[in-house]
Amino acid sequence: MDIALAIGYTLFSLLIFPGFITISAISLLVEWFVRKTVARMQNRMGPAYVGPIGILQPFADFFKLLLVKRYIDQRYSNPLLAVVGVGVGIGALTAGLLLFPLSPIRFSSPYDVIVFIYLMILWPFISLIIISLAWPNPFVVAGVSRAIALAIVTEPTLVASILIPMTIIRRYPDITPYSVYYTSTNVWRLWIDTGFGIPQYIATLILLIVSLITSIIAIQSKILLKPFDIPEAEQELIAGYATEFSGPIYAFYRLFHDMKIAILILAITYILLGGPAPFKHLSIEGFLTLLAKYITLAFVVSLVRGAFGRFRIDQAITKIIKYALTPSIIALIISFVM
Amino acid sequence: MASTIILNPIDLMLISSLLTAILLVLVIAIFRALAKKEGSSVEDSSAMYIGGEHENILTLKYPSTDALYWAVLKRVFRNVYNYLVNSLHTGNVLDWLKYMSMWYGFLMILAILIVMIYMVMGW
Repeated sequence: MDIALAIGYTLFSLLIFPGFITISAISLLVEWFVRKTVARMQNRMGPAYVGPIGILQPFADFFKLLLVKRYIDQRYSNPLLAVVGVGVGIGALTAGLLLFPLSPIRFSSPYDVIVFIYLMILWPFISLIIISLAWPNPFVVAGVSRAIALAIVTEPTLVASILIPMTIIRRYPDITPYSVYYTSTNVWRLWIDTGFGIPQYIATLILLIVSLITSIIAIQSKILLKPFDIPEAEQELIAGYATEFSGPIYAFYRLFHDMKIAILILAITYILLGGPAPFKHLSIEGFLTLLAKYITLAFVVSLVRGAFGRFRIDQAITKIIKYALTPSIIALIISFVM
Repeated sequence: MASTIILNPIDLMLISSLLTAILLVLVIAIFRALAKKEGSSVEDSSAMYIGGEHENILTLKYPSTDALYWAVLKRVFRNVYNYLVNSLHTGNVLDWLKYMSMWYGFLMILAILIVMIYMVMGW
């Protein structure tokens, strides 16, 4: 491919589809979906006034915070550093989208799961620390220290559960090892291929289901939704590390938070469920399959959020170790041996 | 037209960092262009929000690195530490001896295994 054309496609993918503009819109729609479904579960209305059934409420919130509201400076704060923190997080998550088959131009390499971990797990975590140090406050310190304590057990869980399908898929010699793109386009074979014998097939199914469940728990904890929202427990810590944010900075922070939800669900949809498989991307069936898988995962995340109360920090860590970290590591070891 | 570019992992890491930087610059530019600040000088800026308390009650205005370090250490490794201490300090010196010799034995077995693997497989 011509180098100028490649740069043009890369910038298009980065900024427009599936990059910054599209993923921002999807993130805000996912925020609406989660708020609305959780509200219905709790017998509330949820967003209702802006747009049909309130679908534009997160957009209205975002643009009002960005364009109308002012940010309040504080004596010990560094607003630009906070924006750098949020910007790094948004940038890394969006750049990570170029590893997936969804993008018009895809970057791939053997073992590019390392790049996935670097963009989707390492940078958002560092950006969290930058954000919190930019705007010190006792609530911020308490919130971020809890978030770090949770991340110590959450991030290995997420990595282990994503490595499980990549490890099992090594049994097909034609697939580039540990590549996000090739795993996403071929993982559907694992769900239906009985060619290696029925016991092997059942073992594979069990490993994939364990990986799916543990990755959902890890997502829930990583984006601080209900059972694991102790780092921003509002009755106790006001808003954790977002306590002092206001105006445009809060708008970007919320966008970053919504992007984490949207992109991690998308990652699981592709790496574990194969995206639009068994259909192609550019077909009605493929698009509908992708949408159905995505909405189902988002619904499960909302269901867990609606069904649970808040865990204390020690309970949260123990529960993640018991129900997510340990099963995912055992499943990973089994998938290596298999 | 979709296309896949195959790179080596290091180039991919560098390119993705560059793309991250582009978006970082974009976010900062949007912030610089659109953000409006409440108050103009240092005197106008508001005090820290500490649940209605005055900020004099704080001993530290900035989070210390110790606080972040100890949060992790206390909350995650405390159980491991307690388990180790409880299994060592039972008040019986023979328990301590048993524990230490168990570990020593485990390390010996590990060392012998590694040596054997090296001898069989070559360096």
